[in-house]
Amino acid sequence: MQLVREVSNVFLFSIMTIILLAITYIYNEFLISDSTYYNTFAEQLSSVRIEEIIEQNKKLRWLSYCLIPIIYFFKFSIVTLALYIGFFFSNREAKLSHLFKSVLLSEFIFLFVPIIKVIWFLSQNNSYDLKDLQSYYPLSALLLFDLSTLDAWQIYPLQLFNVFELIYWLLLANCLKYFFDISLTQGMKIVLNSYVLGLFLWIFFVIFLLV
Amino acid sequence: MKKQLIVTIFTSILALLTYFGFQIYKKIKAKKVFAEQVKRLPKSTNFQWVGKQTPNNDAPTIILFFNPDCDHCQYEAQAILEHPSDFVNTNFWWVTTVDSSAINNFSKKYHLDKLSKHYFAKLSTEKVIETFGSVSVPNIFIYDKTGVLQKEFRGETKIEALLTYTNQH
Repeated sequence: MQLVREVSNVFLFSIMTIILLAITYIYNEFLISDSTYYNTFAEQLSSVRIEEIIEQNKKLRWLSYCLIPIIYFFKFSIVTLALYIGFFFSNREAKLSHLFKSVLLSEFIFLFVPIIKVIWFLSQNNSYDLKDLQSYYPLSALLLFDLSTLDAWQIYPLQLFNVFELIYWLLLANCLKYFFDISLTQGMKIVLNSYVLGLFLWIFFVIFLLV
Repeated sequence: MKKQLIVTIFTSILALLTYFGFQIYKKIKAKKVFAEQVKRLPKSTNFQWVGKQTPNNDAPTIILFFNPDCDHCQYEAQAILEHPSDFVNTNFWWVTTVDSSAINNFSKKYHLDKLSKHYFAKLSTEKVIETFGSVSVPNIFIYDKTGVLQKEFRGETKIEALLTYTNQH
């Protein structure tokens, strides 16, 4: 456990980014093939137009790699800020670097999602389309519904309600307990009052935009 | 002081959640109304037709929302122009929010003004929302000859896909 305390945030963030880049590479090179595009657009678009989309997307792939560290750094910072506000209102002092580390360590649980996704779709023999790829979320509430009966705005909130998210809350509370010497219950209270509340606000905002 | 701040923040969050919740409810309700509404071909009298022709509801109808400056709409017009014989028994309602001169330029550029059964209409944005809800360009609604919606396509659509739904009755 001492090692966790000593390891730097930059190192943890770099490891996380490298793993995410590797997963994105596998995703782009092995999961999204030409037939995925054909499965998605063949009903509506001519093959010439589909080829154009494929070429265009291949040209823009580098952008997805560049955006990964930026998007994730932004996400971790927002969660850190939410937790900081939670600490402030519970009359406790909190070092931002320790909060950021708690977020980073807990976020590793979400790496299982794309890994499971990659394994799942590699076993599907290209019989899926881009919508399947985007909407599949292992161990989420979405799996309880028939995708074809859902509106676009219903997919995201159902994806967010998943087992990994619940484990993430627990891990966050545990990290807070470890770094700030508080009980697990106190840690969970801070997580619920800050991060989870913010998450609900975010879900409502996204649904508002999607409907 | 801190207590006041907590109360203010939680009240603001609650107010935001209530606002989003109410707006989401309103939008979902409106969406359901529009989904029902577009199932039947809208009355041609609701449209402001440009040119001499006004359509007859004697054949399957394709309503095509377009904007003359949109690349995908131009592609769609070109593709339809290249298959005149496939659509001799289909009415095309080209609907847009731009002014009449832009509509005329578009129909001339793609020689659609020379084709029979191609009708152009201008609709105000408010009227579009009132009749169809939110639409993109191009947005295609295909109705059979009895005026029942067969399919909606959002975005550019190949000719074969249009024919699948205009030729099925």
